[in-house]
This record gives sequence, C-alpha cells and structure tokens, in this order.
Amino acid sequence: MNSKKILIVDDEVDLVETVRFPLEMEGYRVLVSYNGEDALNQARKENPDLILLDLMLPKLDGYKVCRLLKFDDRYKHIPILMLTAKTQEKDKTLGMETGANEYITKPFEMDDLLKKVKAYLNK
Amino acid sequence: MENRVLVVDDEKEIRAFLNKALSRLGGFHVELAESGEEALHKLEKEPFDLVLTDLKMPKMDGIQLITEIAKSKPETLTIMMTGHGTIDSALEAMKLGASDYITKPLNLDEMILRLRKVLEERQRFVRLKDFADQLEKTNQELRKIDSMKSEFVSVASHELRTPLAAIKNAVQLMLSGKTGEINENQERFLSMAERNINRLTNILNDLLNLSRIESGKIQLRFENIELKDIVELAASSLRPHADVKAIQIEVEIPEPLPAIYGDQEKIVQILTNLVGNAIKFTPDGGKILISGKPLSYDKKGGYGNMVAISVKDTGIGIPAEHLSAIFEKFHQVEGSLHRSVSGTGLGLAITKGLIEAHQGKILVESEVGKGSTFTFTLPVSQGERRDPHFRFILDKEFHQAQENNAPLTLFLIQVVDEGDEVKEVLLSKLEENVKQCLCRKADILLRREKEKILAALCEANLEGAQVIRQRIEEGIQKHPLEPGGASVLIKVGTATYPEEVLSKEELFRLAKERLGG
Repeated sequence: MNSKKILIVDDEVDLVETVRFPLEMEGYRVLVSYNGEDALNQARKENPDLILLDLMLPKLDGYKVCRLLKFDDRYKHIPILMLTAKTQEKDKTLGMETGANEYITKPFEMDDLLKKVKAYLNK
Repeated sequence: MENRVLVVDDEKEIRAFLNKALSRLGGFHVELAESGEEALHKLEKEPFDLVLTDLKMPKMDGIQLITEIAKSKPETLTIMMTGHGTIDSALEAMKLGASDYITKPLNLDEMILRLRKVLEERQRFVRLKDFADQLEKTNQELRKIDSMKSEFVSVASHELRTPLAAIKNAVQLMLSGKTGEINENQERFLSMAERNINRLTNILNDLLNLSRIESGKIQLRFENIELKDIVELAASSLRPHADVKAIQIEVEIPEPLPAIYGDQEKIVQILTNLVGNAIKFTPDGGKILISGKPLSYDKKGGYGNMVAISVKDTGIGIPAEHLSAIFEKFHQVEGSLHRSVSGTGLGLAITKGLIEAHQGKILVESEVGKGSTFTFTLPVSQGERRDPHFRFILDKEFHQAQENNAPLTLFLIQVVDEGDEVKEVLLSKLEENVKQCLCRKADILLRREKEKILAALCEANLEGAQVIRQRIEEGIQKHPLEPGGASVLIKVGTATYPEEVLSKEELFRLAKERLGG
C-alpha cells in the first residue's frame, strides 16, 4: 500500500472527482481543497508529498498559494503541478516564476498526469 | 438653407447697400455691425457663416477683427473688403485666416461670385468633416466590438476548458478500464467521445490563437534562426505522419542562406500547418518538397530583406475558384472528402496571421489533380551571428530523453568577465575545447556572445556528468585560451534529468542557478 499523500486544489467538484479517483486507485491518499486559503492551511498541516494546484481559485489564487509554499523552507520541497485553464504564454511564465514544477493546461491527458505524478513522487 | 452673413463697416451707406443687395438675392440672412467690437459682440451671441468686413475702421480694424475671429470662432468664414491701395493688408488678412478679399469700389457680381464660392467650399468642407466624424465614430464602435469579441473568445475558451477537462477525464477513466470492464461497443463510442473532445479542444486552441493574432495581442519572441535547421526539425517531426501514407518529405535549402529573424515556435507552427495540410491532401505515395531561397531585392545580387519558403505537394490540388478564399476562417473546399478528417478550418487563417505578424506574405499556386505550392516570406536577420534556437533543441532532446528513458545533462559554461570584452575568438576556442570533452560533436547548442555562455546537452547521468565536467575544467587548465598563457576563469553549471529534475524548465533553471554559485 502506497501511503504517499496528494493534495488536489480545484474549485470544480467534478474535476476534482475525476482526478481523485485514479489517484486513489493507484493507492495514494488524496486530500482536497476547494479554495486557496484552505489549500494553504491543509498543505501546512498535512505536509503532502505533492500538490495539484488550480490557478483561478476563490479566496487566494493559485499563484499566491504556490509562492507562499515555495518560498517557505519548510514546504519548498513539495512538488507543485499547476493544472489550469489559463493557456497564455505569460500565465505559464508567471507560473514557473512562482516556483511551480510543472504547468499543465486543461484539458490534459490523464495518462500523462498520472505518469508525472508518479515520477515526482518516486524522485 | 439660409446663410447667415454679418456685414461690418463703419460707413452706413455701404452697410445699407450690402444689406439690400444680399437680401434681394435670397438665401442670405444679413446682420449689420458698425465696428469690430459690435461684430464680436454679435458673434458671441449667435453663430454666423460668414463675416464680410471692411479693413479701415476706427478702433478695431479689419485685420484685428479677422485675427480675433480666427482665434475664437475658427469655423466662421471671413472676407476682407479693401481699397485698391491696400492689397498688402488684404494678403495679410488672408494669412491670418481670411478666406478671400474683395476690392472697393464693390463690383456686385464679383462679390456675389466670391461669396458663393467661399460658402460652397465651406459646405463641402463641413460635409466632409461630418463624414469623417461619422467614420471615426463608427471606427471607434467597431474597435470596441472587436475587442469585446476577442475578450469573449478568451473568456469563453477559459470557461469551456474546465468542463471539457472533466468530461475528458471521465471518458479516459472509463476507457482505461479503471472503472470496470467495458465491452467493444462501449469502447467504440467512448473512443468516439474522446476523439471529439480532442477536436473541440483543438478548435478552442485555434480560436484563441486566431483571436490573439487578430487583436494584435500575440507576442513574438524574435531571434535569429537558421532556416535549414528549423525546417529539418519540423520535417522530422512530421515524417511519422507522412510515413503512414508512404509520403516522402524532402528538404531543399541551399547554403549559405542568410539567417532569418523570427519567433521560432511560431515559424515551426507555420511549417507544421502547411506540411500537415500537404500530408492530409496528398494521396498515398506522394511527395512533399520544402524549399527555401533568398528573394533578391537589390540589383547587386546581394540578399534581399526576405527569404521565401515553399511547401510543394503532389496532392489533390485546390480548384481555382477557392484559391482566394482558402485563407479565410472556416473555409474548406466543399465536396472535399477530407472534410471529415480535416481540422478546425482555422489553420490557414492562423498561418497567414502568423506570417503577417512577421511582416511576411503568403501565396498559393495550385492545379487540381497535380498539387499545390504554398510560398511564404520571412525577414532576413540583420544581426551578425545566429543564436541557434536553443529552446527548440532543448525541447526536442528532452522529449527524446523522456521517451527513451535516457538521462540528459545540460551544461552551461560561462566565461567570467573581468571588465574586458571577451573576444569571439576566445569563445570559439572554448567551444572547441568543450567539444573535445563531450560525447557527440553536435552537442554545443548555444553561444551567446552577450552573456558569454555556452550550452551543451549530453546523454549523461549524474555520474557521467561529473566526469565530463571534470574533463572540461581540466581541459581549460591544460590548454589556456589566451595566447599569453593566462587561463580564463570559467564557471560551469549542470543539471541532470531525471536524477535531479523532471521538467525541461527546471533543467535550465537549476543549471543556471548553479552557474551563479
């Protein structure tokens, strides 16, 4: 049994469910946040092994969540994969500048996402 | 329409004469003033089309009045009445803004002729101005609507992406069997759904792309690019698709060809669109030729400002009546069997937009049954040395490493500047030096004169990278770069996939970070 913890942050319930399901099938423990503020709290409390982070979030946007974690020595090791509908080059640049490890645009290939998650967790 | 005329003269007889003469003609409403001051007062209260003023008047004279009117009521026409001896003053009045002058003693016919002419001209001018105002207003409205359209496309595209992602995930989950076994028919229809989700995504991407191009919001990252390399890269990425139909892709680019100046990613997109179309519309066993040549504009036989690139196929061709419309949005040749397999109908519109964003042009020649040739132009680089498309090769190499599960190490080698300009020769020597240490000859990717950086990619894991790095550093010490023997200080930063990083952005970021430390 794989006990790695993954935090999914997205305000779209359906999307969260379609990502949560295969991750749980792989044996990961999945935590969910539907807004940025809760995501930050959960990340600090639970110290997950990986975060899937949407950008347009209520309360605190994904860029800020990412920056606050990546600029904090206690949490900067957590890989953050941004999952977002923002496709512009400048959004991506901004995402990478805030320290995200990957910038993935929606819709994405489920297989690719699972492969990437696995790669980061096995590192 | 009645023209409002103000007659200004200190002589009562002349005022009366003009009043009578103009009133009798009809079409004029006449008011009188006996001084410049009174005239200005009347002008202040109501508008006049024309002021007919005497030159010599006590206190404010005609020149002063005209100056004043030109300043405060520029839309009012003025005509100066002057004696034969004072033509100079009349000319001065015209310089100051008067439309015309007439001489005293007054010739009624001449005066009326001039009056009418001046008024007609003004009417024409007013009409034109109204017209221009209206055009400007319409333009503003159109611009507003256009930006609303772009905004709408952008918002709609974002809003559609999230539900689309959820649908796609759900379908892919079922297809993967993770939700339980599915039968053949279920698989067939789920695959159909998946295919169409992807199609929808492509349309969204293309729409957004096009709207950015059309609204001028697209940002090009210009750099100097070697055409041959970029064409080869685009061709090799499309060959697998061509192979399926046994279509040959040939590249014919003569050397030397001047480097072009453009956005690498976008030029690849242009080539991919055109060659992709060629593959789509060429029957099995056909041929596609990508060629390039300079457009010689100057008579000395030197390279012009543009390079022409052609993509020629042996495909089904385009009927003449469609040739002019194929670059329009959503235009597809009707009755084409390929409609069902083809793309979004936006590809050529995007291609054209991207080429025009580079100040280039595209044209097409075609013969039904024989094939089509698309030719486009790109600007020639004005810079001296190329900067070989680092990102592109990094992309490609990284992708390959991922596919083959092979390690990849990026080396950044920087010459530490101690105030003096590092000469190009020095960088070349260093390049030679470093090349000796690498596994493959083609491994040097980038030399940026400005930052004095060399970049190299090597199929090496962490351990191998250490060895290579040592070899580079030892090599520099053994073979000093400068003739005097003083060795140049260099810094080396490396990052290795997958041991240290998992994405190409990180690869570059880490190597660069380590250069500093």
